[in-house]
Amino acid sequence: MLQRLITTSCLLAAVLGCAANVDSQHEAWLVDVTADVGLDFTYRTGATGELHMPEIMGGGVAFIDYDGDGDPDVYATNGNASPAKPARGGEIGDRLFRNDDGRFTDVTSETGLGDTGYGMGVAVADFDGDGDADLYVSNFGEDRLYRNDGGRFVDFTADSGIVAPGWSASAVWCDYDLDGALDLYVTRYVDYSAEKRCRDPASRPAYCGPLEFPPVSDLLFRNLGSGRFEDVSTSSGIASVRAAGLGVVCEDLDDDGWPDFYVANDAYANQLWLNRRDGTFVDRAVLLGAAFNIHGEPEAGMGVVAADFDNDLRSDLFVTHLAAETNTYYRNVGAGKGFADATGEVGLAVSSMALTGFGTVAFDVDFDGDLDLAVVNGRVKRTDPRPDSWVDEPWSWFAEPNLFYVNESGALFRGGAAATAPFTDPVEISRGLTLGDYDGDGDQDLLAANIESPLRVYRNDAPKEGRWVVLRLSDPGANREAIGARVTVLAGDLRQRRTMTRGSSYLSSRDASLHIGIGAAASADVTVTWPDGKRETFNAVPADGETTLIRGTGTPSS
Amino acid sequence: MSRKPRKKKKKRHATPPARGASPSKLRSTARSLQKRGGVAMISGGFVLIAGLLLVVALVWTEPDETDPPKTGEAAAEPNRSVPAPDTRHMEPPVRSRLETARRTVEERPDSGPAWGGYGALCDAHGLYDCAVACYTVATELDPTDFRWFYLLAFVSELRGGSPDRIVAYYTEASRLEPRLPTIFYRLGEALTRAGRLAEAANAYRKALEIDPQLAVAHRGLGQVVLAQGDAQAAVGSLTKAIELGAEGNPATLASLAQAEMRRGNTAAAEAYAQRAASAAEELPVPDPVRLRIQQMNVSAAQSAARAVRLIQAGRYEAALEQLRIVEQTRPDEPSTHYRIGVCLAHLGKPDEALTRLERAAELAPDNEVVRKELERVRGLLES
Repeated sequence: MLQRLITTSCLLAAVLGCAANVDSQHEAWLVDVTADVGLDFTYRTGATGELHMPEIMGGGVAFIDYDGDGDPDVYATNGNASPAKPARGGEIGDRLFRNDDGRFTDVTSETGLGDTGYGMGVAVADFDGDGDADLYVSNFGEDRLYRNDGGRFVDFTADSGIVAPGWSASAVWCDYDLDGALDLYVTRYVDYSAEKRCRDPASRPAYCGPLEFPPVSDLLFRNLGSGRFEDVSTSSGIASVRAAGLGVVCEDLDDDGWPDFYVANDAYANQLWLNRRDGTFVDRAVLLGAAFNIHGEPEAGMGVVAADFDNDLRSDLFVTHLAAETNTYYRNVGAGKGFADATGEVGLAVSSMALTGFGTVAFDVDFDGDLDLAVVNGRVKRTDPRPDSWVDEPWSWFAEPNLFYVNESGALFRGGAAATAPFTDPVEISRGLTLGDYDGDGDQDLLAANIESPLRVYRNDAPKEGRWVVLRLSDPGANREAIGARVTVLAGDLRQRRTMTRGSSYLSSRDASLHIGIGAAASADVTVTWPDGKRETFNAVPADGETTLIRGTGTPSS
Repeated sequence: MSRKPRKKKKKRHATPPARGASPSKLRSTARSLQKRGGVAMISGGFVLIAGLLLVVALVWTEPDETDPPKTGEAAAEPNRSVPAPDTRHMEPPVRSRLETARRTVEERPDSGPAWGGYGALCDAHGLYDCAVACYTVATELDPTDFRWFYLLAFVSELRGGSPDRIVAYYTEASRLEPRLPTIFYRLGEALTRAGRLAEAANAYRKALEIDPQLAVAHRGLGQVVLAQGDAQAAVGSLTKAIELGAEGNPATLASLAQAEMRRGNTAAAEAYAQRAASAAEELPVPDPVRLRIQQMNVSAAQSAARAVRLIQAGRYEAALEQLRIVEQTRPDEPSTHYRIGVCLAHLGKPDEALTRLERAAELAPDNEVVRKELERVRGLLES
């Protein structure tokens, strides 16, 4: 009731010409509440001063409701004392924090977790369709699959048939073959050698870049439906390309009803793996304008998000990059003609040139009906320390502030708003970034992982410009959260499309819910295109609350 | 099944750690520049670029040691603090050059070339904040030298500078040196990145007025008009770039693939995409100013790379100069001794070459290449 009153008040204020404005002098839109919520975690690198590359690449974070109580808990990967060569064991391990009414408690030990590999990323999904969320952890070294058995996890890697050695980065769950079971795509970075030493242009010791090492191919595992996976990397065509993969999304990017993969590669052309509907993929990134930037150059792809930023009901792409490159916004041109680099046109170029972007998320921070954009930064190349660094040497050589862009309709972004300063001010080495409504107030909060400084929770306190719906999907099949389903929301003049996904950003995994601003409407009509292509419409979904759309309870539509 | 949201928690801000002062801001030179009027241009060709390469090579000076120190208003300029990058872990030649250049500025604080030279040295070593600060002062003290404006624009962009200022810097550089098409080419790139596509297209066209054979400008124009939605014109410009030497350049081929795709020529698009996937040739930007900056990097890695290129070009004296720099930092590296030996042998100094090659063989006893060269030089001496 209180929330409804607040929302109504906001709407009244908007009518009276006092609508929330990002530049107005009100409270911060994103508030760092890390200390208040009891989350005490720092990604440890085990750095010894030898500047081993894995130290500067991790780690990831996830919102995962592991205990099924309706609020998202937090998983964070951690480094290891051995950044030179893959190793397991030791004091440093991943952590799981349980959310109890917005406060977090470390439950790593009692849940059987605490992976001690050199942690990179995390991908969450209920791969076995038993109703609870499982975990895939990517490492510099062997990856692990943890099966959730009613709130306690077991290492299921060996039983699953998944073998992922080397250096893995982001991973994403997705039913690429539409057989109802969630498959797994794992990006892999480079064949790292600890013996290689590098220097920056000023001859100072520095972390090496990806081109100093042989590139490797990514991995694709097909879920056989019995808890077993088959490595189909070669037969699917994915293994035909070697690059330095870091970010991945699974999304139907050519609107043919079949999920595709888009991979952000570091210093190599990105891949757009179009699904050929027969278990194989073909890379069409060059042809469809998503491999390079507007100048035709490969960039240092890190994080990636696929979303409909301009509300034209097509998924665009946004990829974060190294300093001296822009982050890149690929607009989906439609009609099978692929993508166009429109970074400069939409206002995302200049502000990112001086920074190295990693994690990125798209969400409607103020419920005005379009997707805003958050990016966390942190260099991999050494520079002189910034005077405003929040971390000490040597990490201050790499620390940078974050970016937040407000979408001012139709994908025209504006950054630098004072109200977002609590998110953009920290000058740290940030990597993973993800979304989840940890406090259950209907809007999405942010969770950011930092190297050698605290993980941070940013509560979304943005004044809301409209009403909203929170949607969850429920499919009775093995893909219970309907990962890959497309949701079209119609409310008043607003028409928006979202895809149910858990994987995007960098090394991170988000909560399986959709939070959508619907303007002044009291309800919204929602059409769900389930992963198998069947459609249902759910009329009059009420505003300002969470609704679970259960397959079979809507009205079938064509 | 609906669920209402929980009540939001009481808002409290976490306290950030104490922080220092904000980074220094660029000076507002651009504002005055924008008032200065138009850009003179003359038409020209490839000969012009070659000539300019020569002129820049001759004119470029390191920090001017002979310029007498001055006193007065310029020297007392309150905000001209000389940047001091962290040189602690740098190789001795790099540290030494930077410190010398810095001292020169401190001794001659009103010398534009001194500031510009220090900025260039910082720029060459990737110390861009230092470079921006120095170039900014150089443009104020030496406003007739196009290089400071040009370099300030280039480096400002790398540091996320304001597009308006960057455009103003490039515009002033082109006013001072209207014969250099590369300035307009770079301006086109910057405008493209800033999303100012119509202006970018004009900048590329100006570059092409000066040098109609400038392949990178044809490519840039093609990419911009493609982004503007004119696939037909894009194919024209990109095809011209191909004719002028970009047939092995992946960026050109990829853009051409996209242009053909937009036109609906799927077969042609796929053919270009395939060619792009296997292509690897750079399309050179004839940029004498940036080339000179690259050459100012005296790190062992860069010096060794330059030495290899010079040896391949048969320029053994110049290669030796670079290898002497490498040797200061890497006295026990077999490849350095080997390359010095190779150069000395070609310069008619087989005795000295032999000493070097023997040292290389001592450091890398299993290296077949070293062993063969050693035998060859021994043979020369014996014959």
